[in-house]
Amino acid sequence: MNTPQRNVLPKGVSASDFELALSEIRAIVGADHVLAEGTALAPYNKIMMAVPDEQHAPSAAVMPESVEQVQAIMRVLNERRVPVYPISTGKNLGYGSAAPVERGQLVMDLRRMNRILDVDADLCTALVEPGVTYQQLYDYLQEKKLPLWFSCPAPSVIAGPLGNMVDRGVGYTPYGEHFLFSSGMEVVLADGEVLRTGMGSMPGSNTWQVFKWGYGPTLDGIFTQSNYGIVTKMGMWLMPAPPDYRPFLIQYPEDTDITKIVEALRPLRIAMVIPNAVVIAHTLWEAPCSKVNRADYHPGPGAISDEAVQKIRKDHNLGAWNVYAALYGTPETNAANWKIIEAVAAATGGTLITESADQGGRATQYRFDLMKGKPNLGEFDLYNWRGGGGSMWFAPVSQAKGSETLKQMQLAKNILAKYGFDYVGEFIVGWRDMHHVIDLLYDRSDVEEMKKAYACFDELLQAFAREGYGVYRANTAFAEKVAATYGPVKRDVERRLKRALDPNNIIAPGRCGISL
Amino acid sequence: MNRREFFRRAGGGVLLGAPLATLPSAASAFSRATSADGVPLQVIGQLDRPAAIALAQQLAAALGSAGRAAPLQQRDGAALRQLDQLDALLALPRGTHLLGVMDDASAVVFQAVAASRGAHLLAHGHHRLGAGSTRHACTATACGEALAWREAATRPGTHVEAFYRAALGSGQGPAHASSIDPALAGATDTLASFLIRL
Repeated sequence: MNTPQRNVLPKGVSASDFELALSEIRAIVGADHVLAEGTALAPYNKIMMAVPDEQHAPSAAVMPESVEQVQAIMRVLNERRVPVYPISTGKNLGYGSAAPVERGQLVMDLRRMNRILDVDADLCTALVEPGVTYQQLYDYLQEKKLPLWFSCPAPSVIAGPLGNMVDRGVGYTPYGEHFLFSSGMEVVLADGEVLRTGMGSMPGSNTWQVFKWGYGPTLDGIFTQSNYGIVTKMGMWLMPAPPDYRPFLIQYPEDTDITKIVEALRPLRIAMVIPNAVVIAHTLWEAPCSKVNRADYHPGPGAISDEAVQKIRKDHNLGAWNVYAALYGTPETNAANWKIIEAVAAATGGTLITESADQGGRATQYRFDLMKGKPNLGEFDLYNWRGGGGSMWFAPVSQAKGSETLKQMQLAKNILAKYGFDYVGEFIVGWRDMHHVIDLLYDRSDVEEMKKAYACFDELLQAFAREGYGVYRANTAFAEKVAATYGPVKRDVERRLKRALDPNNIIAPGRCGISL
Repeated sequence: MNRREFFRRAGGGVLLGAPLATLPSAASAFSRATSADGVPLQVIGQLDRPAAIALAQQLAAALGSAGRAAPLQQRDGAALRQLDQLDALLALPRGTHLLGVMDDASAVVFQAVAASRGAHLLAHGHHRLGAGSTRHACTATACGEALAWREAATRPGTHVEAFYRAALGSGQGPAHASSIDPALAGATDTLASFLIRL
């Protein structure tokens, strides 16, 4: 057999063994669904992280269309020790996109497995495959005229619920903790065995999508942010469309207002007066999404000045902090709760803006759409802020306390400014926690700036870890470093699990720092 | 394949490394261009970004002059965020080349959607427009290395034409490109470009 010359091979796999594996995989899925040439593979190597593309170059990609094909492929890969990196829709932009965590891993692209297997309108549940996008699910519900909503993240038109849940992403409706509102997974293990979690293991059960826990240890969690199996189906809960939906924006003029905002909103969040995650977006998150051109305010190098940020606020009617949340209920319950929102806004010095009163120009509409689970692409404007295609999300978690906010913001802002980057951040208030999400935007086409971005992210990670702040999610280039911040015992347990479930270390070794 | 080999195979290796002043004009360089096997090509420019539409028009005209018909489709930024509009742009015969010039956000979305539809990525670039010059950083998949160079603001895309012509397999790449060209100290606008094959 002639062995084609390949620039990228899986670690520890010879060219001839790799060709044999590809040949066996072609027999399973068909030659058209195995990609091993440069330009076909290039989309899987399009990353936004501050490391060279080569570091995350795939050796090949395979696109199965059924769980049986996934099983058969896994048996081949397991036998030939070829590491595989599964993706669903591959749109984890800013966290690694579709590229493998380590160079040479074979990408298993599950986008052809894109069936909405079931929607139960009475129980408000859905069962979906990995390739289903939020837009696809939205269109399905619209077409069937089902009054059901789901929660989705910002890039929802092109991303999918299964991949987002597996990476423990969040959204903006009351069902915004996506893993929490999932119910049941189907997982293909490294040896090709299929596990159904929760009630899915019980023959004849019809409760897979309604009761998550089953009997004995609940296993679902170990298949999120991990590499113990390939999730091929996911149950998720849908939300009945409320009779009345009242999104709102409260704007605050000063950076220091964040402390009182969080103190005022936390009780409403915990008591579920506000049932969805409250987003508190800083000026520079709002600005690009409101079509502000950075160069008009800061044409030179380095981080934008506080004076320029003030001017942006004034010119474009943006707050220092812009609070987005919504009420969901009947007109009567919402009317009662609205009085509380008005009182809180007045007491904290905020300007309350409703959907009907919004005069446009700001980033409000895409936010209001997201809070009712309507997919859109509004937040992509962040990528125009600096240009150059570089973006890495830095997302430390904190308690939902006002005292945490300014401390975290100042720490991040100082480190970002040291490297010449802007603070583009928001706080997402969960029930008792906050995700502080910062988009480290940089020019990836400039080698020096890319090096600075890497060093900046590294310093952010270490500085926040020293203060006891861990990130909830991270790009694949920093997986190892992030895992290290969580200490040795957890990592040892993770390795023991890996050894038990994937002894040949073939599923995404290195993902979330887990490898043998 | 390194960039020297990439451009040699593309037909222009002899000029690689020559001073910019010795580069042939666009017209004479393209006079040797073939029609790249007659594969259809479309250029897409973002209508509400003047720099994007200017570069897209320049590329379409230059490719046309070189015998490679490249009709220009113009879409505003809002349309480039609508999935149905993107699907319509991508609903072309398999093998068609699409050369896009748009803002960074639209380019990310477009390439992501195209990738989901199985498109190949042949090349991509970023363009940082300053007061006196434009910095280009382009990568061709076949080459792998990023190339970076600057051009005068008067005609900022001359070598971008050469780059994409080379990426299409019918010309030479830009001379004097370097992977270490530093960023512009200031920029008034930024753009992204890409070449995909459906």
